[in-house]
Amino acid sequence: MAEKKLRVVHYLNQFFGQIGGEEKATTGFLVKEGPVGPGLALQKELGERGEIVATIICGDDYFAGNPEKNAEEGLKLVSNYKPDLFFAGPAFAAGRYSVACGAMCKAVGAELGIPVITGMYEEAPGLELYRKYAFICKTGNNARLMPEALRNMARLALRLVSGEKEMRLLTRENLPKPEEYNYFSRDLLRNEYCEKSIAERAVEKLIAKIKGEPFESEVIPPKFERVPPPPPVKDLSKCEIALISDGGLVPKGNPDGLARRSNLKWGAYDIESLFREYEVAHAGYFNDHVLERPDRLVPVDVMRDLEKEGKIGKLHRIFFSTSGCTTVSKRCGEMGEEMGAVMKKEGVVGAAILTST
Amino acid sequence: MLGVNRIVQGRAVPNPLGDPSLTREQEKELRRKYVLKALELLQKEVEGPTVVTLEET
Repeated sequence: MAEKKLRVVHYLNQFFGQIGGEEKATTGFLVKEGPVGPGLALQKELGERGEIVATIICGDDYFAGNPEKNAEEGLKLVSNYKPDLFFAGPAFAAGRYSVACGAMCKAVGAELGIPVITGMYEEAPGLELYRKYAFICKTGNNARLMPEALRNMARLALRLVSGEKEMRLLTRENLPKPEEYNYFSRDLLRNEYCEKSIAERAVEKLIAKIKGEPFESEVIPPKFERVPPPPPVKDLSKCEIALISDGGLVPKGNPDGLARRSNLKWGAYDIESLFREYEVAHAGYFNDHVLERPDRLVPVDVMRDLEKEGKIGKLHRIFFSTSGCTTVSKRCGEMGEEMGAVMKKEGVVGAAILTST
Repeated sequence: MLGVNRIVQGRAVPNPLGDPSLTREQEKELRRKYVLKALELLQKEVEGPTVVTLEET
């Protein structure tokens, strides 16, 4: 029985979508039936397995104006075609275009749950932003390398939609190795069967290392992402400042159940009432000094003084608390984003001081 | 450093903004210095992760 032909949608910018150059970069979304520009070569690579039913095109400037909102608009157009696969670009080293490709892939992947594939050069701005949400194939830094990039993207896509599950994968998930399919790691873990025990593998790798022979580590250290520094506070006397801490100071009874070790939760508490009755949920340091005087961790006394003196605008009423003891850095980043979202929503906090044990 | 760009080095792990060996007044004065240092850093333009101690200006 012949396999069902996959429905494919492709995203391109105004240039590759053959609308025009920079002068057309403000063009909004438009849809063309069938493949366009690089889509023709992509269609050849897909062969009988898939059919590019539509190409979604949008100008780089238009998209870059508000990537998240525009990705939602693009997603609606993509959804109309009920695709099984979604491609964007490749964008090579392009700035606005790589962000657009990444944002489109993220929106489509999250909403439709289909494989989303794009291609970028290692320095493209869209890479770090969207690496975790899409399969981003490695490309060179210019469009002359288009045929090779499309071949790679099609190969990975067909592998992703193939029913083939690798026998050596414990969980049978369909997650090809980044190095085998030439894409940027999404930081996803796969459980794999191995012939040798972990002790044997560790010793073999150690010996290889000592001999100066090549070996491949099975433990990838977390990559700490660089965050652009926020601009300085212009006028502290008008600024409302929030206090945050990862030292585990919580209301008596620990109402949100922050774990003393490997904690994944955070809480937001009224500072005044917290300082009347509190405890510490943190197994990573000697708590007595903080229990005796919580200002040693969360400097409320001094902040109140500075508030009275007019040196700062205001101390934010709510204290944001978590317990950072062997907590994975990924979750720390998420908690920070969650706290930041709450502060942004309230719209009064101009700066935050986080104290850490 | 997990993306933190403005860092003031604290007193010690169990009491980052205090020192139990000092009198209550001295300790609060010390804490004030740490907080003022943090506020100073908040008003400063930085290029990337910047760590300062209480002694640095």
